[in-house]
Amino acid sequence: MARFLQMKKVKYLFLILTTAYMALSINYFIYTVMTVGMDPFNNITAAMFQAEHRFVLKAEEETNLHLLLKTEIGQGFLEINLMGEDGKEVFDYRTTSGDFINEVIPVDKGSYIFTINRDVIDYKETLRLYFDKRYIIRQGMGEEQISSNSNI
Amino acid sequence: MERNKNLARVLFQFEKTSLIIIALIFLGNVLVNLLVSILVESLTFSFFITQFVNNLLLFTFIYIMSTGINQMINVIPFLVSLNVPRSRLAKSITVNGLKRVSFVTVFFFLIKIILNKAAYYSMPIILGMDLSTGSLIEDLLLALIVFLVLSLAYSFIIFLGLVGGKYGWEYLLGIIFIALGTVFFLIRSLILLFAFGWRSSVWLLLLIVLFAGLSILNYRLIRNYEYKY
Repeated sequence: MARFLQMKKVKYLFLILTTAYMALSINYFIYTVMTVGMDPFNNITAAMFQAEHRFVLKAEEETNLHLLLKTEIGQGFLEINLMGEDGKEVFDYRTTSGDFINEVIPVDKGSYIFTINRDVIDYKETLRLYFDKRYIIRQGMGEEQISSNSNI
Repeated sequence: MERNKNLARVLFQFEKTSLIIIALIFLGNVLVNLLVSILVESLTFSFFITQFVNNLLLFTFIYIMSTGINQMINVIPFLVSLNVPRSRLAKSITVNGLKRVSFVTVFFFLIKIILNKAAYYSMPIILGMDLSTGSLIEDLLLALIVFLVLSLAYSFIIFLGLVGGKYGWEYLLGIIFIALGTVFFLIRSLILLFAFGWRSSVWLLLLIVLFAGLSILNYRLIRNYEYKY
């Protein structure tokens, strides 16, 4: 075995194959990660924050949504809702105090309305919402918000 | 027992210089960060703590890697030339690496606990865990992950050196390409792992299997080591 591995032909064949593997992996990285983009981070701090964000998520095939949320709320509430186009609730969450959730939400092919409703005072939030942009398209539905002393 | 102690002493002699250099660079870095956080008004003390923890992570990783490189370049050829029994040398290399990694892990565990007690510093959310909660189970899990990642890095460096030394630079480069290529292929899963802790148990199992596999391979390679100099 050692003698076989030390043959020059075997050595260079191994090097060529691994170089090809590396080149393919870089190609995969560029076309499926870099051009699609993946930035799940969004952090908010605010003294006062009232807003409703709504957007449509169009899933072209079965996939997962990853939702991680850590909140510190002085007063008020936060609601997160994911509803299918047939009006069926896929995910519903409401909190009035500090909380931490880390959920994987499976979605089928179809359109979904994602709503985040905040009416909070003394607010700190770490929200990460990730979906594979190859399979899910996000479309905005307009938003209204009032805030003060915030980084929004 | 006495022989094992002598071996450990020799291993430490080789690593002493690099340890001193790394410690000096680390202290210089920390001092500059401390001065910056004191002199620049807009920066808070939590900035210094963040920099300190980041530097500590980086330099301990460099220390473990440099220990591995030192052992494969200097220690193994030197002790083989002195006719130290190969199986004892192989055990010593693995056990010494594990000792250093364990020490670093305990050190990190203590720092994590101290930072949890310090109310002015908020810990980040990594691997889907909120580190600021101070949960003992999560702290222990984090310590296990740090231990496995550092052990794997140490074993991998030694494996690279041994394979490169025995079979040639082509295999060394090829293994680096395989490792980097696999990281590129798995980058999406890796980001989901760090951001959300997605499939963390599978990754944990993979780390354990890889570490065990590399340790066994390293043991066999050191036992069959051929002195070439």
